[in-house]
Amino acid sequence: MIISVASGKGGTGKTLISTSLARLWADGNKAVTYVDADAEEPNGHLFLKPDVIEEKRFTVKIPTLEGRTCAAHGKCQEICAFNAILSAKGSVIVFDELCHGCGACVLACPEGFLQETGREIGTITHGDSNGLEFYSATLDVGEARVTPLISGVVEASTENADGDRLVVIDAPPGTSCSAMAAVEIADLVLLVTEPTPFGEHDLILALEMGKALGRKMAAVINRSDIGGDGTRALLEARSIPVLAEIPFDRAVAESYAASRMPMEDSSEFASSIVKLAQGLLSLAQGVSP
Amino acid sequence: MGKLVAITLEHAGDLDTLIDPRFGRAGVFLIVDAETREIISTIDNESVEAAHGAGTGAAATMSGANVDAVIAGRFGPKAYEALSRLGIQMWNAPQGLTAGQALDKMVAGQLTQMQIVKY
Repeated sequence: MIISVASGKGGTGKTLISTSLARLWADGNKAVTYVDADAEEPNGHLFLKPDVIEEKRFTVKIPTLEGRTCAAHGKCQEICAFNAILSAKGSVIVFDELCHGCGACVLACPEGFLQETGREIGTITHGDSNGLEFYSATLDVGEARVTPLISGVVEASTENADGDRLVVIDAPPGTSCSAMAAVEIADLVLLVTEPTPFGEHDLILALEMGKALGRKMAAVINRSDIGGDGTRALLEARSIPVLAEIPFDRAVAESYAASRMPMEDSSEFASSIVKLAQGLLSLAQGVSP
Repeated sequence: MGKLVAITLEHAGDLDTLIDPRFGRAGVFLIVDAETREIISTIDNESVEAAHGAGTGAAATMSGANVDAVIAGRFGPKAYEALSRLGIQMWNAPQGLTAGQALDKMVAGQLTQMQIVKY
C-alpha cells in the first residue's frame, strides 16, 4: 500500500506528517518504508536519522556521437521535442539540461551513430531508522530537472515492496511533473493543507492533480485553528474525507525545529497522528484488495 | 551572392519593419542577402511558443536556413552557445531599428558583434 503525502502549497507539514506516520507504524511493528521524494530539498533524514546502508549515484541518459563524424541528416534535431540536440556540420550539439532522455534521437539517427551515455544528476540514499526502511533522493546542485530522480527513488523504494508493506512517500510541493512523479504510483494521496487562503488556493490545484491522475484522495488539515473555513468547505464539496485536524501547537514547532519527533513532545499531536493513521488504514481497506 | 543574414522581426514584413529584440522568441526571421539587400525568404519561428529550448530551437532553424549571421537585440545563453557552436555570427542591434537600418549598420561595421566562444 503506497501513500503519497502531498500538498499544493509548500510548508503545510508534509514532512512532519509523513515522518510521524512512518515512525508510528514502524514502532507498531508494521513493515514501513519512508521515501523522501522532495529531492530539491530533502529533510526527512533530519527527523528519522537513518543509518545509511547505501548511497547510489543516479544517472539520466543523454545522447552522444562518441566522437564520430556523421552526415548531419538532421533527423535527431527534427524529432527532439525539447530542442535539446542540434545537428551541425558532422557533429551534434547536445544541451544536457534540456534533454529528457527519451532516446528518440538515438532511434531517429539513420546511421545508428548516436548512443546513450549516463549523466549523473543526483544521489539515492537507502538507510535504516530503527527498523524503518528509509529512502531519499538528493538532486545535485545546479541541476535543473528533478523529475527523473524522483521517479528513480520511487521505483527503487517500491520495486520490492510487497502488498502488506506501508510505503509513505513524502512528495515535493506543487503540482508540476516532480510532484506528479511522487503521486502517480500511490494507492492513496494524503493532501496536507491548512485553512488559509493560500492553503485553499493551492489545495484546489492539488485536488485537480489527483483527479487528473485518477488517485484516491484524503486530507489532513494542519494548523486547523488558524484561518477560516474555506478549506473545509472545499474538501466537503469535493467529498474528500478529512482524516484529522491538527491544531497549532508551540510544543510541536519547538520539537520539530530541534529535529526531534514531535510525537514524543506533544501528546495532543501524537493522538492526532494516531487518529490519522487509523483513518488511512481503514480507507486503505477499501483501496487494496 | 553575399553573406546570408537572418534578421529578427516581430511579425512578417520587409526591410522597413522593426526588428524583434528577442532571438529565441522572435516572431519571424527575415533572410536577406547582405550584399544585394534582396529578401531571400521569411521563416516563421516555430520556437516562439516553446516551453523550453526556444533559443536552441531557433538556432536549429538558423542552421537549416544556412545563414552566416543573425541580427537580433539580444541572444539568450543557450542560443549563444548553440550559434557559437554552429559558427553563426551574432550581431546585437539596438531596439527601434528597422531591419534595413540594422543590416546597413552591420555592413558598415557599426553593430556590436558577439564574440564566438570555442566550446
